[in-house]
Amino acid sequence: MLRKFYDTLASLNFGLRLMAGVTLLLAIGSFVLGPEESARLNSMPLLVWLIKAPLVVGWWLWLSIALLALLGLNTVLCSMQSLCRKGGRAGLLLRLAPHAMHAGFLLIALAHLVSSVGGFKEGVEVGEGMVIDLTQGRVLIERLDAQVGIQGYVTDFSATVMDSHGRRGIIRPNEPFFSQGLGLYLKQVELYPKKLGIMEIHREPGAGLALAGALLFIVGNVVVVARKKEKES
Amino acid sequence: MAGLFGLLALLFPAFAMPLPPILRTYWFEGHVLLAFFAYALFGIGAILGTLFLLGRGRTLLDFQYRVILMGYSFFSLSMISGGIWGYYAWGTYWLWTPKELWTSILWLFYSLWLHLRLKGGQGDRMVAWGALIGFAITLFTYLGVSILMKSSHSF
Repeated sequence: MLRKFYDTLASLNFGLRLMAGVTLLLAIGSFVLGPEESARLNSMPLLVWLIKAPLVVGWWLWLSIALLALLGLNTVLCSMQSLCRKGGRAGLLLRLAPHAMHAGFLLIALAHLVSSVGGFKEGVEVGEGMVIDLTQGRVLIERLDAQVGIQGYVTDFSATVMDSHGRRGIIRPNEPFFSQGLGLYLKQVELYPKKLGIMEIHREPGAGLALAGALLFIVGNVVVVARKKEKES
Repeated sequence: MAGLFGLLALLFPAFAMPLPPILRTYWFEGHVLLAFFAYALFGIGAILGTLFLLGRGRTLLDFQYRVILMGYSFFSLSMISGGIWGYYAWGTYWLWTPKELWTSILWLFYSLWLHLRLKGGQGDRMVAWGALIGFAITLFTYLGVSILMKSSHSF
């Protein structure tokens, strides 16, 4: 009985069904999650939203997480079984490559879990000379700038900041400033009627894990593709 | 396919405005370029699947596998570059919007498709049909989501 349960849990068919299930649930979720709820979900860590949101809105995500947890377990068991089998003629690198991709996927899933618990986001309106209080320090907004093109559109904007350790930096679109584990992002600068900026303070504890997972996935993927080409030539 | 979409673009009026500052990064360019390479390869995979279903021989499925594996690799890289860009632009590598959800759906679907091939010859027709369904999801992810749903990918 237990053996049969294990075989099912570690089987390819079970993995395929789980992937199909998550795919279907996410598709349903994309329609259930309207723009307002989507904005609310993006403004807070996933776990907080899941607890707060009514079940009628968040059911698909609860189910997706449950299926993803099973898919994670299925992935680990399948990889373990495959690695325990004898190598055959395939080289070690080729045998390890798909499992590196699996490990990458698992790390990315773990990253989402970590971010869903410890993530943080807050918006703040800033002006020149203003000080933002962070958990373990402060950041002074020294200067705000914006460039306006001939058509009247803002073409670039920036904020010069200094943290409590005396580190100075310039925040622009795609160039945040990191201080005490938090990222400061400049979203917008208005020059009239008063020079003001909109900033967001973020903490994304899963980012490092997600990057590690992504790199592992890429390495595995490149090896799979390269060895496939090598075998064909 | 490129020609068809090029002709469709002629129906829309020219619209000249400067690129929003958030889009001025190599991560964005890589993200879009890789996604379009992937979409094109998924399209070729669907054509090969159709030809197989019309009885043109099994070697087409081997070619289809190579094409879709490359598409999947490009698409994974596109998602990763999008995540890195998102982290630098918005402070998070993931946003809960329809576009991100459908991107994950597409990636998961092709992950499923690649695993489906591990079942061997018994699933040939299913694999061929899978590539057609995959391309339908690709088109919905690219066009359907932008037209029907509000997303962070509308600039």
